Amino acid sequence: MTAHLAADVLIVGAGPAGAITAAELARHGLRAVLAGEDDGKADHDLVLSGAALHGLASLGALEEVDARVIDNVELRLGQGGGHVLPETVNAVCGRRHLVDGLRRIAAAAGATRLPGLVTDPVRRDGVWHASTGGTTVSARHLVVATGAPSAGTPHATGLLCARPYSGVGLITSIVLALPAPRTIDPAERPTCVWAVPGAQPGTCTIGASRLGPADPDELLETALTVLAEEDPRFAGALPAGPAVTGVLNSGFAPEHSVHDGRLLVGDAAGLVNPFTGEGLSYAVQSALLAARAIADHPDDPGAAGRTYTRRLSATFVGYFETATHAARRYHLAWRVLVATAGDERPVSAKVRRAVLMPEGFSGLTAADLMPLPAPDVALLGPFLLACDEVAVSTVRKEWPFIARLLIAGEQAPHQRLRPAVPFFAALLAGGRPPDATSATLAAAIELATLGALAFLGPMPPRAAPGRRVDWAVASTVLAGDFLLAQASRLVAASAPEVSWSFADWLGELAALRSARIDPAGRSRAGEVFAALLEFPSRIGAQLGGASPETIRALRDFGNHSGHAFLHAEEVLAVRGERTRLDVALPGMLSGRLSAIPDALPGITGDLLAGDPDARSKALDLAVTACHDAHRAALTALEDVTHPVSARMLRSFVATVCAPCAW
Amino acid sequence: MTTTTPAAAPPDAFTAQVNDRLLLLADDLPEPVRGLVRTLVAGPGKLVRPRLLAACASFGTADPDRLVRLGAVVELIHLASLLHDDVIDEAQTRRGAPAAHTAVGTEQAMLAGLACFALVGTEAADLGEGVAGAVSTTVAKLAYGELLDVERAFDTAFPLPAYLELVQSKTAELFRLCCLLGAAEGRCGPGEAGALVRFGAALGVTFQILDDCLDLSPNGAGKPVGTDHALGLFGAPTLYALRADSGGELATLLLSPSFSTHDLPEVYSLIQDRGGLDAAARLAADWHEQALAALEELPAGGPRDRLVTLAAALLPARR
Ligand SMILES: Cc1cc2nc3c(=O)[nH]c(=O)nc-3n(C[C@H](O)[C@H](O)[C@H](O)COP(=O)(O)OP(=O)(O)OC[C@H]3O[C@@H](n4cnc5c(N)ncnc54)[C@H](O)[C@@H]3O)c2cc1C
Repeated sequence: MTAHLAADVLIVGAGPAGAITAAELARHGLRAVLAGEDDGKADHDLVLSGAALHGLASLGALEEVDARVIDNVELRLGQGGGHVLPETVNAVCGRRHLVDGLRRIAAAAGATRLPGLVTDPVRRDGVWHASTGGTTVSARHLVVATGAPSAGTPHATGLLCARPYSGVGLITSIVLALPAPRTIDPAERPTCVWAVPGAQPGTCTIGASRLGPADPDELLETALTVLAEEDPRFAGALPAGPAVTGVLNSGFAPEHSVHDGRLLVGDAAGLVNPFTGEGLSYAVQSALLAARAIADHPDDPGAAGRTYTRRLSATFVGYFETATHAARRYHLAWRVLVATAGDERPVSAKVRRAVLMPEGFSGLTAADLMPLPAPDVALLGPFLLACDEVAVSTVRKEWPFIARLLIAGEQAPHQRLRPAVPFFAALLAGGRPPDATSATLAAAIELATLGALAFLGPMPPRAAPGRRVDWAVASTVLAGDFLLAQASRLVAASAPEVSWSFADWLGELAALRSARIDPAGRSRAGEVFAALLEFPSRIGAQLGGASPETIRALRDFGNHSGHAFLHAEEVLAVRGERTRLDVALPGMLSGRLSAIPDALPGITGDLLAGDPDARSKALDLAVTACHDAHRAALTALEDVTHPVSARMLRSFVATVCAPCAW
Repeated sequence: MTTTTPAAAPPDAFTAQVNDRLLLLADDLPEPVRGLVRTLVAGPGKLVRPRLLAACASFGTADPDRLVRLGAVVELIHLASLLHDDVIDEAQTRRGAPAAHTAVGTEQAMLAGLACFALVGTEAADLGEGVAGAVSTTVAKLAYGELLDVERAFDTAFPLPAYLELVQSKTAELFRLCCLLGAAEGRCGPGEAGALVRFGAALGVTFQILDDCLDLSPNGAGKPVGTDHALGLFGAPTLYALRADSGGELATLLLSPSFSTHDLPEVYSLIQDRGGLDAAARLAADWHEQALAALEELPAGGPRDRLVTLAAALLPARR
């Protein structure tokens, strides 16, 4: 006799993604059946990225999975020695522990668990039917969480391996290594390697991933060679357990996340970083998004699927969204990462983050960060989301790695200072509520600002001569041209009346930077940044129909905020803290970004590091300059009469200046 | 990879006006950008793109002043691309003079390109919404073409369809724009304009394929022979030959770290043996055919003859 279960949702696959989907659905009061067999693989340690930890914490699952926190990631790109990734907290836990813990959470929330393989669910009259073991299940919604092997994206498929080792001196950090290419042949595929300390001293787990065909033994051998090179901690490493192998699937594209009415989550949706093999943060986040989309439309699977796709596409940008050119663009990303490994420029640091780190939780925008009353947040939030959507969709098909720059690493609140905010507030100042066209223009401004960072930062040094592409320089030019051209195209298409001013702004930025780096030129360091923020404020005010006095006030506000931004950067850099542009003090000084050398001629990063007096003098200078600019910005705002606009802008500039708070 | 224009007719009044306009526009640029642009304008460029634009406009009646300004815009797009291409390729010379980045440094050269693109934007906007829209679309395609061009470096398995996409984005797109703007200025009807645009696009593809052949030609004119091959940028003849390179000799040679222009004679004969040059010549002939077929749709007469002459002067003698 077979038992029958009627449910709202059947989840096939009881790994991390499946278990979390079931838990979240049950918490929303839906009847969830979690069906899946264990894959019978040996247990192994997993790295939980910061984003994965964040997601597990939001589920209250951290205690259940018993993770060991490791707050240091040594990143080794190319041949150069390692450097530490700032502000990355990771943890380690056993896979079995994790999966068991998540299944317990699902059960505790009320989900029904069915062990066993589910084959070929069929849909009849809008209801899914499947059987597993002795039980048949019917459900309106079907979620597929069966892991990587189920996906069909050969261009984005590879191999992941992990194996425990003993005799290793790795204690307090995780090592992530991406070796340099050996040849100039673009057909060469990178092997990404990581190592995490084990629970017992002297042990660790070494993992490796590679796209394309690969042999597990050879992959792990390469991994150990890469790690042991120049790193004595791995010299005596010996295998201490079986190797575990799995399929790597990085083929995520939002439009493939719903297949024939089934919602795909986690690895099944191809949500894995093709460089690092990281998939858990994606498993957690996609599971939550799928469960919430279903909970929003319990009676309408079609609407649930559309909602899921839309939210996924706002949250993640895949690495291979179009199969054409995917391999070449991946190879480009690898070469650029390695070529800019030691590079201190803002854009390089952002690229490292965007490519190697998982995206943060979505829905966080500047509105969350700035202390604003709820009604203001309600006004600004949707505008910024619309702006992001346009910006990301403008570039994701052609250059997904660039699109990742726009939404990746947006967890740290201070990174959410963005020109779209003063633009929006300036639009409001004239009293006309911003419309959809304005969000497109905001997207253009943000794309252009990102492109400007490529052009206006210092250039990377030339690569050593040889038969090669100078990837660092080439990618700077390419990214700058690509972003500025896309931005100009958006402007011409959506707000042609702004085309002239927009192009004029780009010309002004080029001229200011050119004068700044010209030994004979006279340009204050802050002027480029002033121009970067002056334009959104001015154009917003003009488009919003503000009075001439208000427009003037907003221009001044933008100018002063830009100066304040630079000086706040200097304060962070001198203190040795992470800057908003991710650029450290030596880079700021040598790249002629900073105003400090104008007042303290001949100053260098080394001099400042070795001389506390000079440091405190530099800090004083920067703090004073930041305060002056802040005050001037607030004075300008006195002529902005629209209360919401003025409040947002005060909050914006206060956030800019937060590092040197009075 | 950047193209050079072969020797052409002596400058006529129109090209002189375009040159003057370019110099006038450059006056608005800050130093050292102004100097760089002036040097490029003074160099032996043949203003092919403005002439193409003007020839298309002659199918109707266009305002001569606007034509000059538009001619300057399309030439300025070309100059801006050259500045950035030379930074990427580390080219040593351009139009007979040291390349900008060798004279003023990488960052200034990059900013100079940006300043030119910005100037293109303001000029285009001044000339009207339609111009601004068409120009910005083209510049975006060129930027994408630049990306395609870099990421295929040293790719001996670069597929032909991808090569054609590259050629269309980085070269033919600007030719196409010239015809589009010319047709619009001449107020051509949709039928004529469509034919002109197809002519421009096909001409651009033909031009680039033949230019890629020149990189191999032992007696080729223009840029130093073999530059593209040294940079790992393999054009149609090479890509065709690589398809027939069953023993892998050609690919091995092309990827050799010590490859230099001295290896060119051997590359040439390997490509020749594998039928690469013939296949590329056939491909170019196909596209040339398409260009001429588009012209057939236009009324016979002076303007059409002018385009035929222009195309003939532009395309290097076919083998
Ligand atoms: C060796 C290795 C090391 C890794 N290391 C890390 C790491 O350190 N950090 C990190 O973030 N990620 C790591 N990953 C990736 C990570 O494991 C995955 O991204 C994550 O497990 C995805 O979860 P999931 O639930 O989507 O899929 P899975 O974990 O694959 O779970 C799918 C489940 O569905 C079951 N199933 C499949 N088909 C059926 C069916 N028809 N019926 C019923 N059940 C079915 C499977 O048996 C499995 O239990 C690693 C992967 C491998 C292979």
